[in-house]
Amino acid sequence: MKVVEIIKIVDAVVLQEEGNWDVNIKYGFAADLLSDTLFVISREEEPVLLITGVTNPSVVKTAKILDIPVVLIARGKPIEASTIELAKKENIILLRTKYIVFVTCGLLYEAGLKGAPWKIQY
Amino acid sequence: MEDTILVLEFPIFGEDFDHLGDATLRIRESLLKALNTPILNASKSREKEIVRKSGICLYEAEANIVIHAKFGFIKTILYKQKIVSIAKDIGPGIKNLILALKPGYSTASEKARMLGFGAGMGLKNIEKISDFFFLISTFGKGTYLLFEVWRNNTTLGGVKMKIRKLIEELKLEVLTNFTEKDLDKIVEEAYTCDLLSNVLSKAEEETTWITVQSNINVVGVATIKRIPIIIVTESNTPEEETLKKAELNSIIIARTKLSSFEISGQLYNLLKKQN
Ligand SMILES: Nc1ncnc2c1ncn2[C@@H]1O[C@H](COP(=O)(O)OP(=O)(O)OP(=O)(O)O)[C@@H](O)[C@H]1O
Ligand SMILES: [Mg+2]
Repeated sequence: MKVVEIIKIVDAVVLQEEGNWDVNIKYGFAADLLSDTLFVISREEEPVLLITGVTNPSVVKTAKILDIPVVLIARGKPIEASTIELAKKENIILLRTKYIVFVTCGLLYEAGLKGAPWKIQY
Repeated sequence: MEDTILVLEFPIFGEDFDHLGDATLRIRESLLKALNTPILNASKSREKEIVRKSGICLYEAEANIVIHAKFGFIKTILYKQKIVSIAKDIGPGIKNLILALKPGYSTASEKARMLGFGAGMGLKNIEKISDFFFLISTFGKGTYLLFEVWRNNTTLGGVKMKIRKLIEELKLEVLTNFTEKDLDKIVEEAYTCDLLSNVLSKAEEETTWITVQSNINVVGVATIKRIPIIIVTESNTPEEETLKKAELNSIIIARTKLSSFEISGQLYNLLKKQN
């Protein structure tokens, strides 16, 4: 799924546009705990969309380390200027939707975006 | 050590949430640059993988010093064969290491939790991702963590091989459409079995699967186990539907005339011989 489609589906605004708009997002992943994100996405090679309510620069750093090209902030949360600045530097597209995480995921899933199909093992 | 290529070290301060992750990002960038130099001739995908693994582990280690300790450093040494990182701190130490390694156990502060930390997954994550993990802590004094991410041919399991090479060497007939990336995936061992439930419960993740079965359920199992390639033996022909589903999940299905016994033997020797 292309970034422009995602924007359309969840009626998102672009907070930071520097980045790879050609990327084809394969999976969606929603979490507010960064270590959970790191744990689950650590072996994912396909481009992932991170859906989260975390708005501080850590979310961008997490995305960078995991090669996540696009972060979608849910619940229309206000976001720190430093986060946007860092995303620009690191080439990570930042989007924001006013929908809550559950609805955001639901809309994207309905539109064909999938989650990783395997079960998590500890 | 003579094969040391790069040494990087950064001080990390407790409670310094604003800069949490900066050291990791800097190390990550330097590693990428160093690995890009021709002398190391790392493959692009392998290179990305080890940098990503190191990045994740470093980030968790750095976060732990910021969140839980007073002061420390993280140090990364790039050798020809592996990336070794050390995170050492002066701080409260860890009273119970087994508890600290338990997924979900966390003593992170309210502040850290507000920022998205405190899942209690950090140490477990490093343990899972790294190829070597060593943690020691003196309660009341500090913590020392060492982890390694290994480059090609240095996993405990033996030799690693690209699927591209495997297909070539075993003269397999590939039945699914694939991408370059699928061929770049790496396998290091195989599991030969025709019982799906056995594969589900016993096979390692990401293994090569050798089977005489070719029905669609095979693909379901392979997806769950993240198996990148299924070798169908004795010239069995999967249905169109099976191939489609495999392609959808980036799984390669390849066929051989040989029996499971013969192809297993060949692959076994191949993975051994290289060493
Ligand atoms: N460097 C350290 N110094 C003191 N205690 C630590 C240190 N690292 C980890 N711990 C202890 O071990 C626990 C588990 O650590 P772990 O990294 O797994 O989770 P976390 O840091 O609490 O949360 P997360 O990493 O998921 O954000 C911590 O909550 C803390 O009690
Ligand atoms: Mg941690």
